[in-house]
Amino acid sequence: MSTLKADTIQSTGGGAATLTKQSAAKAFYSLNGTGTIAFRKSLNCSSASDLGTGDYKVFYSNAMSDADYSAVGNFGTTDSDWNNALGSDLVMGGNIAGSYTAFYATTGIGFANFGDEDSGTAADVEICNGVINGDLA
Amino acid sequence: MSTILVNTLTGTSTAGSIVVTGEGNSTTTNLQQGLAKAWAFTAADGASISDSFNISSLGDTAAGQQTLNFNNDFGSANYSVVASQGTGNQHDVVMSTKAAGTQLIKIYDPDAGAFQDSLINAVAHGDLA
Repeated sequence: MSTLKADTIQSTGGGAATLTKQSAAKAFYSLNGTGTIAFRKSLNCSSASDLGTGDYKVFYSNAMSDADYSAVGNFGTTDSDWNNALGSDLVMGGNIAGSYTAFYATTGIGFANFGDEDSGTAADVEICNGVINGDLA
Repeated sequence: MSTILVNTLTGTSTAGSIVVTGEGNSTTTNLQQGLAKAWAFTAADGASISDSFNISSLGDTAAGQQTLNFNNDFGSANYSVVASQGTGNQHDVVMSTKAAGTQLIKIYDPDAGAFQDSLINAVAHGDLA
């Protein structure tokens, strides 16, 4: 067995080293989207904005190289009656604010719950999870 | 081009922390933080795992309610799981109760008005214990 100990790994040219058949997520978040929104846990996320009911933006600490990256997300709740998550209509890259605008940018991602099962209208969500894969700037 | 052949990568200052340079050469990211800590591809019957990483077992809690049991637990319940289902049209995927070692995922069929078993793809990110 061999072990390489290093704090930083770069290519010989000072750029990104290639990890054979491996790729790491460049950002992820678990956001509490109720009340005063806050990250439970995150990587490469500097802040989140509460744009209104069920409407959010997450901003990256280090930007992506372009907007052609993968963003996947889910809503969740620990609420036994499922309010605000069951049947929620999650749109990654879309916001309600500004009359349904797109925000799928190098600097961050917008997402919204466009409707829940109970009311059919936007609603705040207890658990907002997302993972970003792609190239950093 | 140079290639290092090695079985284990360990941080010098902190064993579980290695910084790598991003693809654009202008930013860095933490390697360990970005790695998926668990993933699962489960069978449509909700009772078995087709393939997985760091998953010890799948709890068939009830119809449409599957619990991922992690082999190595997270440091706390503050981690991120995203999942999708692959069986029904317009079925809802909801992350439910979680702990450092478990994540309950529920699949709801709004047409049937009931939870329904489904193929699940899930991936988890966060800090291991």
